[in-house]
Amino acid sequence: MVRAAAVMAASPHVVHWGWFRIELANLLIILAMVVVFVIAMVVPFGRSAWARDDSGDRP
Amino acid sequence: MSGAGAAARRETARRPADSWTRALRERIERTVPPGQALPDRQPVFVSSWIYVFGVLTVASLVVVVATGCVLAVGGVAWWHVSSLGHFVNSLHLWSVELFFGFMVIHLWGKFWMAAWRGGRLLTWVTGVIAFVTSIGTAFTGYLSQSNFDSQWISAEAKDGINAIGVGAWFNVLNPGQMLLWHVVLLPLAIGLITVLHVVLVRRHGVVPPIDARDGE
Amino acid sequence: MSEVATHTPTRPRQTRPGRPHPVATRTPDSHSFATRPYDLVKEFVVALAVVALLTAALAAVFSSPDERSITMSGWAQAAPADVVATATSELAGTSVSATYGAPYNTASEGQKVLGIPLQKWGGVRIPVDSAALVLDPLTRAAADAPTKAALAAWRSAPAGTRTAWATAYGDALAKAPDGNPAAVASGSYGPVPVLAQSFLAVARSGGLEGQLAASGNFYGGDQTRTILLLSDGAYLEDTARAQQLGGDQWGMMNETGNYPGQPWMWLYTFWYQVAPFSTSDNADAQVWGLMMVLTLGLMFLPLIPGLRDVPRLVPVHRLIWRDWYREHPPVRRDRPAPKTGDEPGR
Repeated sequence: MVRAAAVMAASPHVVHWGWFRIELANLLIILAMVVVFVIAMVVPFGRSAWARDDSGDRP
Repeated sequence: MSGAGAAARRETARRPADSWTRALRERIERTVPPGQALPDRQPVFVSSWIYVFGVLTVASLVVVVATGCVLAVGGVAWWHVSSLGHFVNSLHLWSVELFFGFMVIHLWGKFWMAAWRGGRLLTWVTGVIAFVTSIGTAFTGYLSQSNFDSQWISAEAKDGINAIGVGAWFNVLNPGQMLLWHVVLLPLAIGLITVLHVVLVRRHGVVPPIDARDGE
Repeated sequence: MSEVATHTPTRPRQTRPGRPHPVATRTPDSHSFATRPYDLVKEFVVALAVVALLTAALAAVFSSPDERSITMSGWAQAAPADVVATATSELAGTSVSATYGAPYNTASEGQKVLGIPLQKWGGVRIPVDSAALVLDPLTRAAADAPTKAALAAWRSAPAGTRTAWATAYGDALAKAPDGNPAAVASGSYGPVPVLAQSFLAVARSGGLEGQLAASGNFYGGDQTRTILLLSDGAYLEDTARAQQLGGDQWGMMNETGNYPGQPWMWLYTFWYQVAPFSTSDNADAQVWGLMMVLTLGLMFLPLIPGLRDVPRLVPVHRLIWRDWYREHPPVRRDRPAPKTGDEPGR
């Protein structure tokens, strides 16, 4: 943990593509959001702790 | 005179037509009928993980506010001099990153669902206002850090705010003013708009799938 | 209406061959659908626990940045020539703050957007006299005899002479190696070199912040003058650029060190990097104006034809509601679809 904090405090890593530049940490956050979004789309919801399937119908 | 008639008259006497209390109660019940506020069932089409991101956003907001309250107990400079204070600051920072992450994923999901359909425009609008207000709140938080970051951010940000003529009323170079916006005015605004947003969601129910037909 | 949440759903209608459903022309009532148990409170509690644990884990592993603020004495120690040059530019009226315009002074028109002078309209409501940023602390400090004499000489000189002295000294500093005041060629600078050196001494002593922020009040708080002075120098920006925080380094969304900053500011930051904004004198006003328009666009996206139809045309919704669509296959459209109700009022 101390090592992770030290890496974070070091001088910033920046990613360049031509005129586009972004700090690595921001890029990772945005990528993580996209990945989580895709996972939320793809992974079957099925039965969670709060949503049960009782054959989808209650008279 | 019948007993039923007397009872009805008594009922009328008990519930005067000009009761403000009753008017408010009926207004609330019209906005969100009792069964709709906290239903224990949802339409069968509510079957995707994308639905949890609204709740995750609200949960993150709770953690953001709670950690902010702990920081407030110690005061403005506490987190610079105390390891516990610094840890609470770290909790505050990361809960904010999660808050924005979940909120934006929620926004993406609602966009692809065209969740404004069926009279839900105001729900969408309040969501966007909540997003923009959150950006302003986070920004004032960066200005309230009382470290190099807030020095630099305020020096840069003044040009944007001054350029549109409001820098004198919202002076980013005045950390006292920014701190009060950060801990009082803007959280209050976010709280209110969040309540309104959630009330609207409960009032209209979850938006049905695109092309779904009545009563399916 | 109170029973709508547990409304008895009707069975899905069967689509008879050859007689497809009419395409939905309006969004049906959410409460007319079959339901299943869904525990909102349990969902919220689980979400709260997950977020709290995730937050604690991220905070424990990565901590948070706290780069110490720059002090005036730190500035004076690290970049004395910059302090002297900045003090001189304040006296000459050539610093950024001295030439800023509203809300600090009337030295410039300020920025415009579409020709509208919003900055000027804001008015001078936080008056800042740049020369006073230097002279006030010197007057209040227990100054030595040469400084007192220099202050007296400055005050008794006509405005044109003062400006000529300070401008000449500023130019000479710019020509000196490393801006070193000791290496400046001799010239007609009046009391300016003494004032600037004395200002450096006050800054070094650590008393400058208090002198600028307090303004006669025991409690400080407003740092407008302090930060204007600091950002008139080069040291603040040099330090920020080393941390990738410069405006042209997409710095507005960045944070010191390797920490994530405000990635949600990406679009606002982006505009500053591209023409015409990257080369415009009115970039701040223009970008703010543009972002306001775009924010309104996002807010009222459901009313914008074309944009509001994107979710229908790109079938991400088929993925989200795939369970539903499996049970309720879309009908074949034999005739041109009528308006299909993506607009929010339907």
